Amino acid sequence: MSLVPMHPEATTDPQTVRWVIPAGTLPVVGEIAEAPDELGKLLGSDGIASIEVETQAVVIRLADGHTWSGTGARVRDALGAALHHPDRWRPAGAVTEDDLLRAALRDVLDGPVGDYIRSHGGEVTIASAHDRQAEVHMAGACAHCPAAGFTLHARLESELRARFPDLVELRATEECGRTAGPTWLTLRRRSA
Amino acid sequence: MSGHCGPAATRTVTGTNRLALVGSPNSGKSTLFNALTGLRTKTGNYPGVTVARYEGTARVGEHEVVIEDLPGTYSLDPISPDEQVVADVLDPDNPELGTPDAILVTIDATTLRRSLGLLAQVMQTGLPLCVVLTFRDELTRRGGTLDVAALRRALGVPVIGVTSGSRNDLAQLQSMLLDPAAWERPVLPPPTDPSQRRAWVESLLRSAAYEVPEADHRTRRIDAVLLHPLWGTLVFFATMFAFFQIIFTVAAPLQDAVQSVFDWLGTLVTDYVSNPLLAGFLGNALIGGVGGVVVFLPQIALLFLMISVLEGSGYLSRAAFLMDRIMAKAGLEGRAFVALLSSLACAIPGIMATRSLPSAKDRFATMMAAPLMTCSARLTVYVLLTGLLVGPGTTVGPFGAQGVVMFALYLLGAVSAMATAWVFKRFSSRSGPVLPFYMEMPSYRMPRPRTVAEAMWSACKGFLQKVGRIILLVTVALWLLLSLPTHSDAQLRSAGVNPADRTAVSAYEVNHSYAAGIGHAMEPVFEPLGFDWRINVGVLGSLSAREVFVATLGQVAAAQNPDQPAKTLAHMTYTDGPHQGQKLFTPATTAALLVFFLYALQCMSTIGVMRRETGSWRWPAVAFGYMFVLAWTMAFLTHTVVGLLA
Repeated sequence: MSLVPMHPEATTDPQTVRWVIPAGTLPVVGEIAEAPDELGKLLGSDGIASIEVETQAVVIRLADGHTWSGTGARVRDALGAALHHPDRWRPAGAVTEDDLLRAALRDVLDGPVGDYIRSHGGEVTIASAHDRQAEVHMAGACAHCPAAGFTLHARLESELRARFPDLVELRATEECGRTAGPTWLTLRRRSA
Repeated sequence: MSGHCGPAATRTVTGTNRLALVGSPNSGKSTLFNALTGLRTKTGNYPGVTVARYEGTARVGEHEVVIEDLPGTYSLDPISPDEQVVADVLDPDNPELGTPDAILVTIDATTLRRSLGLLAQVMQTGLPLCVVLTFRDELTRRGGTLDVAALRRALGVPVIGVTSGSRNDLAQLQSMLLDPAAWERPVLPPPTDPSQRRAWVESLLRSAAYEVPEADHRTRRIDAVLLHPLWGTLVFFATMFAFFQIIFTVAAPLQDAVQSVFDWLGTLVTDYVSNPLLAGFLGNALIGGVGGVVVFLPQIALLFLMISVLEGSGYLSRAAFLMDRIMAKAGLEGRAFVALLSSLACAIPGIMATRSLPSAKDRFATMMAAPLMTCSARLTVYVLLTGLLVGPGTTVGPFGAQGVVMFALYLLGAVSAMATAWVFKRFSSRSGPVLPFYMEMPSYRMPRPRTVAEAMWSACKGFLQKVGRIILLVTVALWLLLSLPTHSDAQLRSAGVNPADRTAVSAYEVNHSYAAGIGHAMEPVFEPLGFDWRINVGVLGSLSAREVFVATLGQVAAAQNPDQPAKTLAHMTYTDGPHQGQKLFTPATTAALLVFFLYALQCMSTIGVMRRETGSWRWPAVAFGYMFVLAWTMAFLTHTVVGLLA
C-alpha cells in the first residue's frame, strides 16, 4: 500500500509541528479526541498534548518533556499508519459538513491565492458557509474591480473545489458592508 | 596534464569552516565550485583510492572558507568508487577523512524528484545543510513551476536559487557560508524507509507546486524517427558521414588561406634572413614544423563547432542512447559510452570519466579502449596523410573521397575500441549484474550561439596552447637533432656536395644529422611497414603529442626543399637503402601510417593519466604494449594488402 504523502513543517512553537497532507485525506477538522491505533495511544498517554486537523495539515503538539528529535520518528510512523483509517478519527466536538467547507475556505484564503489578493490591496473575507454553498466579501481593491469575478471563479472557486469537491456554489456578496478606504496603497502580505 | 599528485593531507585550519559540495552529476556542482573558489584550488587524491580530490578556498570579506568539491553522485548507497568517496567523507564515523562542518547540496530544479532522494540521504547526516537550487532558468524556459519559499518551508533548511552568472545570487550564498551553525535545521530528519521517503518527496513536490513539463510534442515526434532502431541508426551514420565531408570541403579553403600566410612568411625568411642557422630555425622549425601544425586550426575549429552544435541541439544524447544498444552487445553499459564519447575530443577526459563506472572490470576495459577512439590530435595527422593518399578531386560516387576515408578511420577507431572493450571484458572474470544508468534526454532546441562559440574558442585556444608549448618544444629539439652536426665546406665537397647549392647542402645535412642516426636505428622495426628514417623520427617525436608527427614531416620537407615545402611531401623519395629514389608516400605506406596512428598509443599524457587513475604502471604498460603490437600488426597487414592492390 502506498503511503499518504506527508512532510513536517516547523511552527513558531518548538513543541508543535504541522504535518502537511493532501486536502481531503481526513473527513474531519478541528481538535481531535480519538485517533486510530498507535497515534491514538500517543494522544491518550502523555506523549502528544493535542492534535488539530486542518484542511491540508495535521498539527501535532507534543507534551512537555518530549522533543521532536526524540519521539518524532515514532509520531511520524503512527501518523502515517493512522492516515490510512480516516474513518476512525473522532473530533472533539461535532463536525458538520459546514465546518469542513468553512475550514477549506479559510485554508484557501490563508494560502497563496489569499497572498495574491492581499498583494495588491484586495480583501476577501468569509461571509457564510452552509449547505455546500459559500459566500465571500470582496472589499478593498476588489470592490468594483472588473477582474474580481475572474479572481472569484478562476482562482478561489477552483482552489476551494480542490479541497471541498462537493461544493455547489461560491458567491460574492453584493454589499460588502463597509465602504472601502484608499486601500490600494496598502500592500500587506501574510507573513510566511 | 599535471602529473601524479601524492595524497593530499586533510588540513583542518582551526576557525576556518570546511564545507563539502554534494550533488548529482550535471547538477551544476562544479560550476558553483569554480564560481565560489575562483582559481584558489588544489587537486589531490583520496587516500587509498584513485579519485581526485578538489579543494578550494572561498573568500568572503575578510574570512576564508574551505570548500571541497565531492564527486557527483546519485545516492549515498555507493556503487562506484566515486560514490564511495562521497559516502565516506559524509560519514562522521570514518576516521580517515575529516567530516565537513557543513554541506552545500546542489539540486537541479529540472530533476527535483530524483534529487530530493539524494538530499534525504544527505540530511540523515545531521550536519548543517544548505540547498543550492540550480537550473531554475531552464525550468522556467520549459514552462515548469517551483515555489522556492514553499520548498524551503517544507524542507526546513535554507534553499538558495543560483542562476549561473548572477552575482547577486552568488553574493547571497557567500554571505551564508560564514556561519553554518546558524542555518535553519529541519524539525525532523527525512524518513529512511524507502516508501516513507517516497511519500515525503511526493508531499514536498506538491507543497512547492512543482511542475516540470515532459518533453514537448515536437521533441516526441522527432524522437519517434531519430530513436528508431533502424531509421535512427541510419540517420546517425548519415550525420556522421556528412560531418567528415564538411570537415574536408569547408575547411580546405580556410586551410589554404592559413598555409599561404606561412608560405609568405617563408619567403620573407628566405629573402631577408642571411644567417643560415637563424634562417634554418625560422624556416624549418617554426614555419615548416610548428606552422605545419597550425594550418589545421580550421579543422579543429570545425570539429568542435559541429560537436557543440550536435550537443546543443540535443542530438548527442540521442546518439549516445542509440550507441548504448550496440555497446550492450560488447558487454558495456551506457556509462562506458559516455567515456568513449568524451574520448573523441581527447582520451584524457574520457579516461577520467571512467570513474563513474561501478565495476572495476568495466572500468579497466573502458580505459583500455578509450585511447582507440579518434581524438582531435589524430585529426591533424589524418588530414595530412589522407591528403597524400587521395587527391582532393577524387570522389567516391557523389562524395569526396577524403571525407569517406576520414569517416572510415573514425568508424574503424570506434569499432576497434568496442572490440577491445569486449576482449578485455571477456578475459577478465565473470561480470556482475547490469546496473541502472540514467541519461537525460533534453528537448530539441536551437544551440545557443554563445555556447557554441565558447566551445570552439576553448578548443582552438587549447590547440594553440599545445602548439605553443609541447609541440614547439619538441619541434625545436627535433630541429636541433636534424641540423646537427654541422658540416664544413671541406666535408661537403669531399662528399660531393656543392656548398653553394643551398638545397643540396640542407638535404645532405638532414640526411647526416643525429636525427637521421636515430631514425636509421629504428629501421629494423619499421622497415616492413615501409617507413623510412624520417617517418621513424616523426613517430618517435609523436610520443609527446601526435601533432609533432606533422611538425616533423613539415620540418624535413622544408629543410629538403625550402622553396616549396608544401609540395615536397607528396614527391618525397627514399634517400637510401634498397628503395632509394622510389616514392616514399606510396598508397601502401601512407595507409600503413594511418592505421599505425589509429592503433598506437602515441600519447604520453594519456599514459600519465592512466597511471594516475589506476594507481600503478601495470595498466599503462599493458595498454602501450597491446596497442603497439596491434598497431604494428595492422599496419603491416595494411601495407601488404594495399601494396598488392596498388
